[in-house]
Amino acid sequence: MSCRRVCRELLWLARFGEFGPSSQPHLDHLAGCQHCRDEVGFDRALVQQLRVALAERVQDAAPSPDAFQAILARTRQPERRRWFVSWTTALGRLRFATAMAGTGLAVVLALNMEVVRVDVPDTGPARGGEAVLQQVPRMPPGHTTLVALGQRGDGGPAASRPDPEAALMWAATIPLAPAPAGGQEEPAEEPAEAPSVELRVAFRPFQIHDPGAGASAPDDPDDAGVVWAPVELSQGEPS
Amino acid sequence: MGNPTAIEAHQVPVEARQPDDLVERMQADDLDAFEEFFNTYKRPVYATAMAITRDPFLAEEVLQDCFVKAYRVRERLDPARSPLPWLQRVAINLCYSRVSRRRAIAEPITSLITNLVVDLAARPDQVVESREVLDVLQRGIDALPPKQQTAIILYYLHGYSLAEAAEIADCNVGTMKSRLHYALKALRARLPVERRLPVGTPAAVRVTE
Repeated sequence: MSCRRVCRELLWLARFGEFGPSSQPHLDHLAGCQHCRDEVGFDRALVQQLRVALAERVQDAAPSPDAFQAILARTRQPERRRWFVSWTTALGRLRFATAMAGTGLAVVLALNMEVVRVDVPDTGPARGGEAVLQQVPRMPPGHTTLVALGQRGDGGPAASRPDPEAALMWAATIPLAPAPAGGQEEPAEEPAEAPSVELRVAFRPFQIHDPGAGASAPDDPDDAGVVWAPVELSQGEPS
Repeated sequence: MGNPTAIEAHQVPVEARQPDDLVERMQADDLDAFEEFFNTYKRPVYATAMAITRDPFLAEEVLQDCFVKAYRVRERLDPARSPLPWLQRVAINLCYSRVSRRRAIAEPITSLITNLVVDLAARPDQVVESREVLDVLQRGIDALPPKQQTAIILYYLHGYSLAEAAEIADCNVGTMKSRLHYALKALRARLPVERRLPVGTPAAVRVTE
């Protein structure tokens, strides 16, 4: 054991009077180490001075002779009730209430939102790997969030018919960029215009379909009440 | 640790002997019992308040609040146990709720030590030095965190055992030891190295005394 460690343990043992048979190595070290003797000696002197300093604080101190009468008088009075709070207390409560309200709002939002992730095939270096649609409201039970991908201007199936499954399949299989240079096959034809991906999100309104609407009801009951909100994602120029 | 008689000379008696049925008589609205209760426990409670606040008026205020509270909750006091730890805990809490509003900013330790080192060369007289050390310690006690301050007051002023001090401070014995250790460490750091060894006393004598 190092002298420093022995010294630290010696101070601990001496302060709390915990010397015992297991402390013999420490005492042996103490007998031969001037530094440790000085440290322990100083600690004892410090404690002695500390007792004197503490005693000075209460020297000749006694409560006033009428202290008990004052206490008795106060015990006979009805206990004061605090009908008002100090401004610091009020401010503290306001801060707490604000923090709790903010936390509650965050929890409510977190429980009612979800992140829908739409993967786009990586067909070129400038196209990126995926598009992420953020914060789509959670649909009520029994309804699913509809997401459709289409390619603008080509009259593809996603643009004409909002079939989410078909749109996703289609978007995943059609390359949106020419093959990279040095490839074995040349592209069949250059696209006239850089294609852009259109992301469509369907929000189903919270209303019950009225079966008695007759001719005004759409052919496909799944499409009833669907509102399309197009979101364009820039894909950049193909390299 | 140290000479027991010398230690006791600086300590506040922990507790006068408690009459057996004092709390029970107080619970039966016996005002004489309440007065006896007050006279039994006023000194250690007042000493605690004085040691923390160093203000007689504030200490008296704390004392009164403490015993008024004790009277109002007398039905909840356990007659089988000494009420002193509870009284001390209430007094300590009352003290710190008041002292925190008026506590002065502690002097930076470095400047304090520098001043003392300069003073050492100018005034080597031992008596003056002792007074200076006590002043340093008083300021050091004031600057301690409340929990460490409470620990040294309970252990070194009142002479409570570690277990009793831990009960009053509402912590375990290990925590109480740790608080005492760090309090002494902080107080040691306040004293310059030149003043750590009492003048004219061989270290070996101090260790074996």
